[in-house]
Amino acid sequence: MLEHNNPAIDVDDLMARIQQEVAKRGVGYEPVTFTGDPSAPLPLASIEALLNTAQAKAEIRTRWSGQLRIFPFDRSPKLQRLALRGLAYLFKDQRHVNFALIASLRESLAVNRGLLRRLILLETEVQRLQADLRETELRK
Amino acid sequence: MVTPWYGRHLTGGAERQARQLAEGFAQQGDVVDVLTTTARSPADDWATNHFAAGASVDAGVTVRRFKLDRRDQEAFDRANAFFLSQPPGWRRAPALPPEHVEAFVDNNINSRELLQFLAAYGRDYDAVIFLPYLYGPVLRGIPLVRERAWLQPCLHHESYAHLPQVAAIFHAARGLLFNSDGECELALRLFGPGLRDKSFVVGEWIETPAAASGLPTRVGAFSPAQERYVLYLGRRDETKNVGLLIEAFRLYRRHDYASTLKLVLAGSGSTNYHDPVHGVYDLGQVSDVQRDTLLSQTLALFQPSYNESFSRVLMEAWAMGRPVAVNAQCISTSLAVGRSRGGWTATSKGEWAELMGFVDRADASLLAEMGERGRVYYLMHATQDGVLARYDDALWRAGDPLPRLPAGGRLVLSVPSNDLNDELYRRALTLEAWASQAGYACRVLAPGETPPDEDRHSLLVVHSPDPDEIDRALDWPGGAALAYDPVRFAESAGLVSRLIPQALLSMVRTPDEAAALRREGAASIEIWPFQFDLRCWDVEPDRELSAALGDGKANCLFAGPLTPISCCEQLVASFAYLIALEVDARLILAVSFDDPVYAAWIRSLIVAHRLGERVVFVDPVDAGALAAAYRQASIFWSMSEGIEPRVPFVDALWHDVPVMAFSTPRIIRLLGSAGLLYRRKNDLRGLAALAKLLIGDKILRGKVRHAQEARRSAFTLDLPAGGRLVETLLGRVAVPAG
Repeated sequence: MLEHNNPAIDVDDLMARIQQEVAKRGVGYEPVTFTGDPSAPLPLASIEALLNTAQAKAEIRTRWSGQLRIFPFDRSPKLQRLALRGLAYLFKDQRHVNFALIASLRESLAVNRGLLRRLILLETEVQRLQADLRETELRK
Repeated sequence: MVTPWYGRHLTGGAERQARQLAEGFAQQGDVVDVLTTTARSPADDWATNHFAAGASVDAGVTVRRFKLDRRDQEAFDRANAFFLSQPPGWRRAPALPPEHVEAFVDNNINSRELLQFLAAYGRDYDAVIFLPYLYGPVLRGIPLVRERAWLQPCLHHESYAHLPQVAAIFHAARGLLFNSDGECELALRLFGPGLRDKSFVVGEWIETPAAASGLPTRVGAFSPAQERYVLYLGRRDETKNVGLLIEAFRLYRRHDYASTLKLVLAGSGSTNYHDPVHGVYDLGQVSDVQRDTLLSQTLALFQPSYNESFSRVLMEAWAMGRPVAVNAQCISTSLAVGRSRGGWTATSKGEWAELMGFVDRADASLLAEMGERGRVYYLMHATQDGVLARYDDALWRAGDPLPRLPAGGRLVLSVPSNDLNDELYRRALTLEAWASQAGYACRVLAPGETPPDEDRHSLLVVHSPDPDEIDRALDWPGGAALAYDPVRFAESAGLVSRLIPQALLSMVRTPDEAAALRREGAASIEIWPFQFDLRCWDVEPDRELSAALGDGKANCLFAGPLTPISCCEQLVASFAYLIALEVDARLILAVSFDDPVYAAWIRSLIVAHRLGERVVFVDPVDAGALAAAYRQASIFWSMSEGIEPRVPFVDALWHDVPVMAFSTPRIIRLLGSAGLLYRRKNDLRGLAALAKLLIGDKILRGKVRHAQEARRSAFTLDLPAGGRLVETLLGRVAVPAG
């Protein structure tokens, strides 16, 4: 069936794989519509991105913001450092809460990812079974 | 030169390159202005005006700084986090969320004042070089001066490269300047073959390293001359893949615990990897002299980063005659290593560890020999004189900044349609591009358009078999030439036989066609090569269609006329089997409806197979839509038994889309070893299985694409070569200036 035009491609091997693919579906199968792809990427990237942003923002600030160039902080780096330390101390508990929340959300995300994957696999399986059922009914 | 940050204090690759270039041009006598912002550096706040706005002169370069715009940093960070979280490996991009795209562009570093200056005075410059590609002044500046805009992208394979605004500036710029062959290759893969004729690999130069005798013997507490080590130079963080290198080194040391090999890291970065017990020495930031000392004594430089457009340290190592190891997934560095044979490539941790073992055990003369090969490559590609000469070639000799004035004469081209699958139309576009390059003014008429009076004394080149067009050519005052196609012109055979003897030049495709025309009394015949200009693909792909087709489904594309000989009924039936094989796929038909009855039948078949939602029709007249179809196609699938058209196959090869086609003698001659060709179509299930394998099997795809890459250049001349060909051809005909 295939041309031997590309020496890098083993046509016999390819033919065997084609037959394997066809055999997997059995003889006389008819086209059915398939809508799910278990290997498709899960739509969780945005949540992960938000968590990354949250984590980045939850870190202790070590640099004075360029937008807060107000007297007397714009004159003295020492004063800036002092203020930053003060802020770090004041919000220490909050920081712990933030980190704990981020960590728990990450765990929850991992659980969701696993569940979604299993759900897609189950959907695929159901579709396959429905198709097989239709085929069996037709043969009867 | 337009760049977001500028100054001696900057150490980033693109920023250093901008300054080096500006000063290099100024040294050779060019007048150089740098348009930049008042921001301090990429690491500082992008809304803080660190420098005063206004002009100053630095090393012969006039630096004009403009105030920054306010921005919403939170929104930008959110969008940026999203882009950073995307895997870098995807080639055909899925649709990016518009809100993130908008936030990224709007809240990037921007300066309205800079853009206003560019809009007002940009046309006073002979050339405007923008670099790098990712920032506001570049994304928004290029459209303002597009006819003289040169983009030096410093492109990496990263998710930002898939922003629609980035694609737009690559297509809008007059020319593209690349630091390496690999970067150019990456741009062609990401943005299509239309960029080919306006792309120039100019390279980048590095300062000549100091002589080894004048270098210090110690770098801090480390004595390079007394140690055996491999070296990593550059930013010491995870984005440069340093973690992988360290893990690979530990793996090697675990396997070979008696080894005395050390891994030395040097460069900027906040993470400290120092672990002398396990042989890892992190020296932190080093001076240029210390860097040269480390390079002069290392066994080899290891550069694991996969995000490089041009790796300076690679050239620095080669300048010192040391071999290098680079990441095989980084096109730029791996291509340079492949071409120079001055090092090795590796990808996985195991491969890196193996390479370390090889270097550890290698004979010194072998390492020196490889280093020497690298040094030859450095001398050819990364010296100041060579690089500036290549810039001169690209900027000044590739053509004037404005379209050329008619020098050789004037041509008017009639075409049958604007269908990009139509070979006659593509021949006309090719003639237009190559003739313009040769100095002829060219005008392609719309199908059926009457040429204006001022063109009546130009040479009319007939590409259209429309009887009215041929009739007009018979009485054309400026004389006519004919782009002949026996099948297409058969419908106007009587008129054509009158035109042939009086045509100043007849362009045919084969010796047989030439013989036929000679018998009909043609005076001057030339065999026109089966080669096509690719500038029609220098368009931004239709954004909406790209987004729709980029939803993760495998796209099977067929392009050509929808006639019975295209055998699309077999294609549709086989595609239905492909769906049954559990491939989530879509069929894109970029077809012209030349046969309404057949088209109606195909539509009814699509409905009968319940494929309505999986078949998309694309208009081949719409270049943006067709470009989107090719860019998103997973395979090009043809059942056609016709001999025409062949152009879509060439387009598929250039868009790097694996071809799977019914094998006819003409297709075999056309594709050679490229494409996956089948001789029989009686087993549509088998063909569907073949399509499934070609879509999903990376190794098979790689083999097919590799053969296609080798084949495609046979169908395309570069612009100057095409220009020379046309000059020779039309030089024989007295083409009036109009």
